[in-house]
Amino acid sequence: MPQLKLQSSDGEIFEVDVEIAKCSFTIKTMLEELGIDEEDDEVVPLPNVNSAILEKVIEWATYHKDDPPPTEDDQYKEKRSDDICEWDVDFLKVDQGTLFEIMLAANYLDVKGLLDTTCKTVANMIKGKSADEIRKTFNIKDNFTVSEEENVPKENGSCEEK
Amino acid sequence: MSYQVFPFSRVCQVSLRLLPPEVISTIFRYLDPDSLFNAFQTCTRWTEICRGDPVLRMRIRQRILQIREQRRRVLLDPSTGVVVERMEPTTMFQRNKQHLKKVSVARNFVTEVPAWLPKIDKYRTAEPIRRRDTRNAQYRNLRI
Repeated sequence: MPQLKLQSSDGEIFEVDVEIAKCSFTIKTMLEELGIDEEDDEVVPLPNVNSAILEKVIEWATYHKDDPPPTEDDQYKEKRSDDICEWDVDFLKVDQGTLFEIMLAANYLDVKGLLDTTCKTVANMIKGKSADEIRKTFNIKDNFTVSEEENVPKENGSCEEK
Repeated sequence: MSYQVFPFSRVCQVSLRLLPPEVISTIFRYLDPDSLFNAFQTCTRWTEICRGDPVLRMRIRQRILQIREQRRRVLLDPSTGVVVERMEPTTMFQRNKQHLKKVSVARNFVTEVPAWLPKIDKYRTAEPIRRRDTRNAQYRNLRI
């Protein structure tokens, strides 16, 4: 099976099967556009992904290489987020920083399955929380200003006696 | 399935901001209307992203209409509403209009919104950042 060399941002080189690398739509398109030479020892540079994250992505792709390609579904329908397989749940038990970096890498490499799974994971973290709890979980600053709060219309204003 | 709250790190502050809007809107499309509405009110960037995505925008609009409808139903329910009482009728024709007891219908009621109604998190409990910013004026009313 032909191998492909991927170079992460910190210079580490990973050798992966072409079939696994083709999970990434970016790499797949690149190979189809440019063609691949069996004897060529060229390295594909991935300047946006560091070695730790690339290793994770390759681990995921190796496990999911036999998955059927994702189908386009109706975007207006509400999607389920609780159908993550158990291996993925274990795989994504990492800290938030790593999780977001995996998402960035999946977005850059266009690995649809991985991006969907991580999105579902984050969606599950948001679910059932109030705005304040969400801010606490993701360490977001509340940047609505004072003037905005004062200008919020009175809830029942329309029912007042004229 | 339970999710632990991961320890905060410096990286995660930056990383959430680094995620491109389309990824965040993909996340939001997995949310149920309630959580989506909460996420929508979390920060201005998320508000912006929700407003920019037609699907999310439609869902939030439906949610807001739903909340308003619920509130309206409570207000108009005779068992919870305040009854306006009249004084004894006067003998003079149409004069009793002026003798209505001064009962404000809605104003008295406003203080007692039933606890089971979904709360709109407009009046935040967290200490807001005291900063004036006129650039975000369009988000003032949290309307979509």
